[in-house]
Amino acid sequence: MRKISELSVRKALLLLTTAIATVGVFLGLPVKKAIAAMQDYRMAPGAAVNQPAARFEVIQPRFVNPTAANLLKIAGMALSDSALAERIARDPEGVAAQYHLSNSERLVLRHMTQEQFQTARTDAAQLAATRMAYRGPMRMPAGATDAHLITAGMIVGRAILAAAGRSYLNASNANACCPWSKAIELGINSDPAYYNAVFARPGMNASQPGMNLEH
Amino acid sequence: MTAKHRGAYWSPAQAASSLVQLAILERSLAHIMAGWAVKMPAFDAKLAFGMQMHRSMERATYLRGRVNGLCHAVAGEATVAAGLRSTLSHIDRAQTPALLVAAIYRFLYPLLIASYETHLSETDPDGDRASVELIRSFLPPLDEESRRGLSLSVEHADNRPWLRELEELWNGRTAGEPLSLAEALWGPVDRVPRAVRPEGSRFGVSGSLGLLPVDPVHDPRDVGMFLHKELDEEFTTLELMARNSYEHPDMAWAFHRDMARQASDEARHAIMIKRLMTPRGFRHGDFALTTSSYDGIYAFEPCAAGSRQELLWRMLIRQTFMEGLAIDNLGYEIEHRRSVNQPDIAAVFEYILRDEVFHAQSGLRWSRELLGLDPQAVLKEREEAIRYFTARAEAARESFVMGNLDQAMGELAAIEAGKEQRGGKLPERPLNRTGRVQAGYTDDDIRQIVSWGYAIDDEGRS
Repeated sequence: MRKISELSVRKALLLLTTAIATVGVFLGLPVKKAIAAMQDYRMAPGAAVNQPAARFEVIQPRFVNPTAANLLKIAGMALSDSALAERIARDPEGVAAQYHLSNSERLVLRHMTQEQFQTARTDAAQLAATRMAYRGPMRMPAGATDAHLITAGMIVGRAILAAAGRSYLNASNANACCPWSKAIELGINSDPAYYNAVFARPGMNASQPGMNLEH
Repeated sequence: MTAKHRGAYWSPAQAASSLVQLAILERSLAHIMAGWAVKMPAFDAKLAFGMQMHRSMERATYLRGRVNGLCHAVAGEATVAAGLRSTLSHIDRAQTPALLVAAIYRFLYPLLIASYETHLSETDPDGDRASVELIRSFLPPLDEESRRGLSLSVEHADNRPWLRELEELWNGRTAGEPLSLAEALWGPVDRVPRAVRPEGSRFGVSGSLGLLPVDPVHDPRDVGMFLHKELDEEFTTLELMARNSYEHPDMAWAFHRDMARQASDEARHAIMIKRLMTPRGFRHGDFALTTSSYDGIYAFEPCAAGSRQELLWRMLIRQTFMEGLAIDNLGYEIEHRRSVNQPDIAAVFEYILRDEVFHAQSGLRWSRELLGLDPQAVLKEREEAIRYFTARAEAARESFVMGNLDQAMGELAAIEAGKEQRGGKLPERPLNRTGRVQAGYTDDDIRQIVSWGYAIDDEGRS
């Protein structure tokens, strides 16, 4: 009974890892990177620690309420308007002024290059094709296969990364207060699927660490 | 008035036999707490375990010395029966934190105290005076630990069947093969890749930058956030060091003393940080918690689970890389906090700096030990571990940003606000050369961290 339940958990985690990789691909990450980002979950699939599911929260500065909506809109328009795409690359300040962008949005806009548009188009087309190939219960919702939306998301996401700095060192500098601590959260993921997979074991109380131990 | 007649006192061999049992009880208690600190949901239990494992380890060390003192002349060895180990390892396999707490404080502590008292009443007060004096100094803290343990926050449940089970095992403790102190421990019964936190806790999201205080010096809320992050770091380091000890019981005795001391230091630091937070109106949990300094440094794909290499990477990353940066930063923070009239924070950091130097020293010592004392191998292995660790962090970061554009924009705004606050400059990163040298970093070690860009060496530059 115990072995069967462990097997089910491992299967569930395997499925989850696959799903993570798929999501990573959807987001424009190479499969290896997507899995690497989540590899903690493969390290000890049988672990039964009772860390509760996290609520999704990022502490944001209280004086702003930034979103990526404006940037997604502009990137989306630029995908079908080559003149706008060219202006973003040539005169980001002018475009930023035209769309009344905030300083942060302006910073991100400066990192939207022509090359990025091209790369994102190619990556997104491949991804959309992959996702459209899913059939039956694995079939993706329409929004998830929209190459236009995927491309805009990739452009904005990659430009934000470039603006904030991609490296661990950049991230350390962002955390001005505690440079010795981790600069990037490498802890738990808020995806409830992970917790469901780990804790939804028959006859097992998730709040009991040690329940799955090999004695 | 007539003196009460009593039989003969214990012989040295009998005294050694009693002492080795006490040493094993204490060592095992430290071992169990080291394994469980991370699995206890309540923070007060983590603090208690962190401090008590160190006390137990130190008591075991004194007792061990005493056993050797009594056995050396006759080239003897004091042993216990394997039945004792069965009882103690069974406690380690408790099914819930509540059962574990019951086993330790309702079963083990009373037995331990009673065994100490038996030794006091049966041993020769003159012949075994050193043990008597030791035990007399042990009993008051044991009483205090026991009282504190009984007040820990755990779910209440009917522990009676469990305690009866332990009682039966204890009654069979004299059965089985003889074991020396060195053979008395058992291997880890589990892997714990994630630190347990109280139910309902809020967490930072994987790949995010977590809490981003814009002005951690002047803005009261950001100061609170800054201290909150510190507090999380103390807990996760306590937990990781404790697991380092627990998962490698066959490492040298001195290694376990170092890990236990560090766990205890981190517990004290946590208490001091909380002391700074409370009057400022903050409590642990007011902001999202982070456990990534445990979760992200527990296991590494290139290292076999539970291997010495995994232990080495944990020490290289946490103790020699991150705690080295702590030495640098604390040196800066102490002066800075004093200059902005925050003497309470400066004073706490003064104490923490003292301990961090020891922590880095311990990490350097044991990582060198594991690499055959080859300094070049340490540099190379550290570089490899850091490269892997940062690549993983960057992958997680990329994944987070691509999937959470709005949150990533929020972080960017906070980063920009922080930069503006600092007049467009990067955060200060002066190297604390004195602290690093005192910790035992070689010139090559220092050059490595400077070359990576994490610290600026004004002295080396000039």
